[in-house]
Amino acid sequence: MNRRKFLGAMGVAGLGVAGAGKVLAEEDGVTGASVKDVKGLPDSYAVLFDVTRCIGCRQCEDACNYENRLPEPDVDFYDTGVFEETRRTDWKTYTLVNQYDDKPPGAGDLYRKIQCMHCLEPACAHSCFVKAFAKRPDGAVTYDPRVCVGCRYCMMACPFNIPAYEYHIALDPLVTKCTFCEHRLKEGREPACVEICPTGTMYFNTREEVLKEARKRIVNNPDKYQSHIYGEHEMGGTNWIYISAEPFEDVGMRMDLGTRAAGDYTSGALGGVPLIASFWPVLLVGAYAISKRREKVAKEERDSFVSQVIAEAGPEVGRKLAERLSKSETLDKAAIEEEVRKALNEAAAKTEREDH
Amino acid sequence: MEFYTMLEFDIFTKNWAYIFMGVAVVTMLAWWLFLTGRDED
Amino acid sequence: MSNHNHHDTGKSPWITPFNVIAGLIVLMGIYLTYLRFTGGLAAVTNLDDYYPWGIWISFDLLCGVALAAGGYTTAAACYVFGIKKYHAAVRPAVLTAFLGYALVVFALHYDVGQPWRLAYPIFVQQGTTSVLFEVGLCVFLYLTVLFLEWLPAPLEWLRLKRVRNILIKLTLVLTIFGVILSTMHQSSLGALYLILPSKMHPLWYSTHLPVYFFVSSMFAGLSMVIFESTLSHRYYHNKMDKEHLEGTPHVTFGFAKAAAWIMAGYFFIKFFGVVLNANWGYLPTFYGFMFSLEMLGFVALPAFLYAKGVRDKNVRLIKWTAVVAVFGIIFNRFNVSLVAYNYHLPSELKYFPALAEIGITIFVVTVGLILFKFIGTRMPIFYEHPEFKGSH
Repeated sequence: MNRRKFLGAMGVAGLGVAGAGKVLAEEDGVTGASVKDVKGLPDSYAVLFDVTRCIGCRQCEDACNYENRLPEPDVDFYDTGVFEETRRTDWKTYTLVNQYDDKPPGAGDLYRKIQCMHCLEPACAHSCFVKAFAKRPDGAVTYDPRVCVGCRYCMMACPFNIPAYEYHIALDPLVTKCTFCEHRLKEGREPACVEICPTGTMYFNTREEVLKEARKRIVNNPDKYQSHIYGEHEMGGTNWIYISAEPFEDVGMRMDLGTRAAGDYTSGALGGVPLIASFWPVLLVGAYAISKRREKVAKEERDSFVSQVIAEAGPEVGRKLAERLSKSETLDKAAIEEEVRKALNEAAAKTEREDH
Repeated sequence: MEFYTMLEFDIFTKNWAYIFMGVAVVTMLAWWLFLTGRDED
Repeated sequence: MSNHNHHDTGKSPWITPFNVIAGLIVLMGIYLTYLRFTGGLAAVTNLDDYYPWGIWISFDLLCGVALAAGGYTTAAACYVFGIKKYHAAVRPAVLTAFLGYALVVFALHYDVGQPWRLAYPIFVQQGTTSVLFEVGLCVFLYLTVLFLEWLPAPLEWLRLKRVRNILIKLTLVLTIFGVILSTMHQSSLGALYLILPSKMHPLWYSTHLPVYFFVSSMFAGLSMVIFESTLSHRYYHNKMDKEHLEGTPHVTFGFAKAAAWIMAGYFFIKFFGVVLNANWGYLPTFYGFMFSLEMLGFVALPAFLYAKGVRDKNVRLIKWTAVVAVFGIIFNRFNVSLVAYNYHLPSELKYFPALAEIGITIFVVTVGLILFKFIGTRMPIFYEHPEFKGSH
């Protein structure tokens, strides 16, 4: 297991490697942003979830349900039957624990709690067109139901599939998600799920302290833990942090999310919008001016041909030619000359007939 | 300027960008009228 | 023309196949509307927490806006690029676009949870970091522009000469503003999906999604104008004046040529999307099949058929090709928003629209047809109003 030991050490030494190529703020662990001006939230709270310690008792689900005054669950919180299937958050479940089956033999039961990750740069907030979501200085990502239009773009945008919706409600259905128990954070208390956990699976502190603790556990037990701190950099970093003995994919966590914050992916396109607003008028009015100019030149040409024809064959033929030219609307000189030739020939034929 | 999150930074910059986009479009129109104001036709 | 008198529909019988079918669909729509606003989205849709956006977004919004692009393409061709022979096509195209956008907004009232707050992002609290904000703002402004572009028709109908003449003077400004707004939101509809790279299949996800959406909207609009003109000639032939009838072949061939040319460019920019992301490995999969079908069957094929139609002067072929091209746009928007989206989810979690959901979409489209019919039979859309002839 030398490799693992080595990687474990690397996990400490190489912190921030995942953010390579970006200008990260001086203080690691407080920001996922790539702009120097951005300070990060140094005092934001975070929770470390240690997958190795969770026993799947579901007391956190119960506490969350009680704390947030959520409706009665479909299945009682002591019922382990729910582990038969892989669940996700829904309108009456802000957090839940899943059991993961494809564990290697002898590894023991494998459980992981799911709730809002409280991203440093939340996709839901970035995607919301009424700013219903906010990232609070304490780390919580909160939702304001008073302005929500119910477009559900936040649910599309969330890489962790967290926000849920009250589809069954006819009027004023809302988006639902974990609040980080923000009302408790304000009082300096930890979230209800953290408080109730009987096995100390969750460690609550500032994000800096939480990351230190995560590193410490990995360094002290390099054989036990994956040398990866999930949430340190994922999608720009989150305020819920996971460490695990098994590969994170085995507890249903995607390792391919990358380190860029969600908002990063749209900044290029949104940056193009002012370019269109300021340069499209140039191109369009330019095209208009060119077509206008061509029209004018063509008209002058036509007029000169017409007056030439009038001089040669009289006003009657000239009038006819002008009519034909304006009808064909051609800008092509050869075509105009062709029309002129025709008109002159016609006039010539006519005079000839009259002469006979 | 100081921002605690990228989100704050984006909100700030995009708010002004939208305002100035309106200004830019109106200015361009006025500028074109000024530019062509003494054209003969 | 003197026989274009708007009272000539007054004696036609009410019981026509169109009226009966449209009436039944409207009744169904009213019933489904009742279900939607008493039972919530769950009562009429198969939407769930994994699929917050279903066909009301895929079809009513994404396809609706793309297919209404004929408004800006036709107006730009005529007024900006000075191709006057397309003049007769402008009014039907603007009407189609105006109704298209109005119905997009109408359909969104069913989809969002708080339709009474639909204007909040513009007037109450602006989430300017959101691509959806940009879409919403542009659609709102462009709907206003289209309304003003369309307004001369009802004003002529009502003989309100003075207001009508003011609006006609604004044509060029409105057209240019319309093209700017269209460029922005047509592309932004594609940009909506940029924020969720981890949920999108790589064959359709690209940083150039906005470009793909904008470029494809151009030939979507052109094809829709050809398609719409086919239908109009069937039902409104006697309404059309000489300018309209003589202009139609120009429009058909000119637009087919433009569409074929733009489609070729679109084919290559999409192709380079595969090259630049080294997506070759995905091609021999189900998603690769869908992608190839889209690119070969619904871009390359209609582009070729348009070109053949133009070379052979084959109007019939062009008209059928327009149907293929329109279907291709719908196929592409569905591929992006429903096939590529959540591609990694197990099949039992995937979404398929409920019948009632499809029913509401059919209802919305029918409302559009009824409005088009109402306006097309009464107002000067397919002919110039005799009192306003040549004054544009």
